[in-house]
This record gives sequence, C-alpha cells and structure tokens, in this order.
Amino acid sequence: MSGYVVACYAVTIASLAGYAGWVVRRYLAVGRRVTPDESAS
Amino acid sequence: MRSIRVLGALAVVTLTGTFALGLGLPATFEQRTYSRMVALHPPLAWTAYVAFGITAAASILYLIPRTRRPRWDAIASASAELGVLFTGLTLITGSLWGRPTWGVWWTWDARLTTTALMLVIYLGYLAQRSIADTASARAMRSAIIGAMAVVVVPINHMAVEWWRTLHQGRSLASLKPGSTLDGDFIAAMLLGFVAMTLSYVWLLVLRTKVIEADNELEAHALTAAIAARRREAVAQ
Repeated sequence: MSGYVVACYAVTIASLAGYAGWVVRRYLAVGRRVTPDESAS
Repeated sequence: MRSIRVLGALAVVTLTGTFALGLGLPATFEQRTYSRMVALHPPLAWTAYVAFGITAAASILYLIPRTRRPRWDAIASASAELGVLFTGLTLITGSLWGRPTWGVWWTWDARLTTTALMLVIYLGYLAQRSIADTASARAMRSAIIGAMAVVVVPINHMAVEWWRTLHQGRSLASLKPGSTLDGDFIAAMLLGFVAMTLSYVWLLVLRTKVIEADNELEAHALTAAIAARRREAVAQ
C-alpha cells in the first residue's frame, strides 16, 4: 500500500485519538473536581 | 452520562468500520490505491463545515437577548476548536492526496486557499477568546465574530463551482444517481460521514462540559479573590 495512504490514515487516527484522549481526561478530571462540592451541598 | 458513553461507543465503532472499509477499497485505474483516502478526506471537510455552522448557530443564539445563555458561548467555543481540528486534518489529508495525484503538496487553488483561510479565521477566533476580559464581554465579542466568520464556509464549499480549480467537484454531488463513483467507494465515504459526525457530536458534548466547568471555576476564583482583597482592605 502507498505510504501516502498509510500516512493519511495514521495522521487521522493519531490526531482524533490524541484529542479525544485529552478531552476525556479533562472531562473525568472535571467530574472529580465537582463531585466533592456536590456531595457536601 | 450513559448517553455520552453510548455516543462514544458508536463513534469508535463507526470510525473503526470506516478505517477498515477505507483501507480495504480496491485500487482504481486512475488513482491506484490513493482513492482509499476518499473514506476520510471528504468526511473530515464535511465535519469541519458542520462544526463552524454550529459555532455560528450558537453564537447567534447568544446574541439574541431572549435566548442568551452562557452555554451557547461554551458550545460555540468547543465547536470552533473541533472545527479547527477537522480543518487541519482536511488540509493534511488533502495534501497527502494531492502530492501523488497532482504532483504538488500545495497549490494556491481556490478550494485549498479558502480552506486555509477558514483555518486561519477560526484560529483567530480561538486566539481572541484568550484575551483577558470579563466572561460576558468575551462571550459577546466571540459571538459577533462566530456569527460573521461562517461566511467563509459556503464560499469554501462553492469554490470548486465558482472558480476554475485543480480540486475535483463537490464530493456530496458524487452521491447523486448517475455518479461515476463506484458503490464500494460511496459506502466507505458515507460511513465516514456518519463516523466523523458522531465523533464530532461526542467530543462536542464532552468539551462543552469541560469549558463550562472551567468557566465556573474561573468565576468562583474571581469571587474569592475579590472577597479576599476586600477583607485585606477592611483590615488595613
């Protein structure tokens, strides 16, 4: 298979996975940050 | 919470299907294996359009006093960020497709130039959001820019019709009956559209929640800092 095709798929997969991983980590961190306050109130 | 997980699972499954289907496409006479990029490149561009459209819609809803909510500003910001990601990927995948088929990584073609312009405009939109200001002033300024910036989207989409370009015609037009695109390629591209749109919606929901939580934290920190300064002033 052409290196251009491999690069096209690799860049797309890596970028989407990297961004999704960053957002999910931030989302989970936000959940942990909010939970103690909510349980206190 | 459960719906977010289901959305995420659907996005991952359809994306995996798109990658499998796309990489399994047969080589063609004209483009050899390069045509396998059809499963990714047009869906990435489509999702960038959707993202900037949602930024504009949320911005307009923020500008209307009756519908003004901080959530619209958070959605506009999250969607613009995703639009930049998808536009960046559109340019990279397009360049990787252009090099073997056109012989160049980049050319100042109308479609390519307006895509680059779109990326720069929304990078500017995101950059101005980090200017120190009150939350409401930042949201209002961003909403005005977000509502105006979307003008570039239809210009970009129609660039291949309005000007003589190296880029092929609109990919969505190839889905019409009588198209010369083979069924396997249409199926892979359609699954790509579904997968990228689902991924966008899933990431938009998560990113919006993160932005809202950050804004809330910023507001609390500001209130606490003002209260502390007042206590200091009273003590003096």
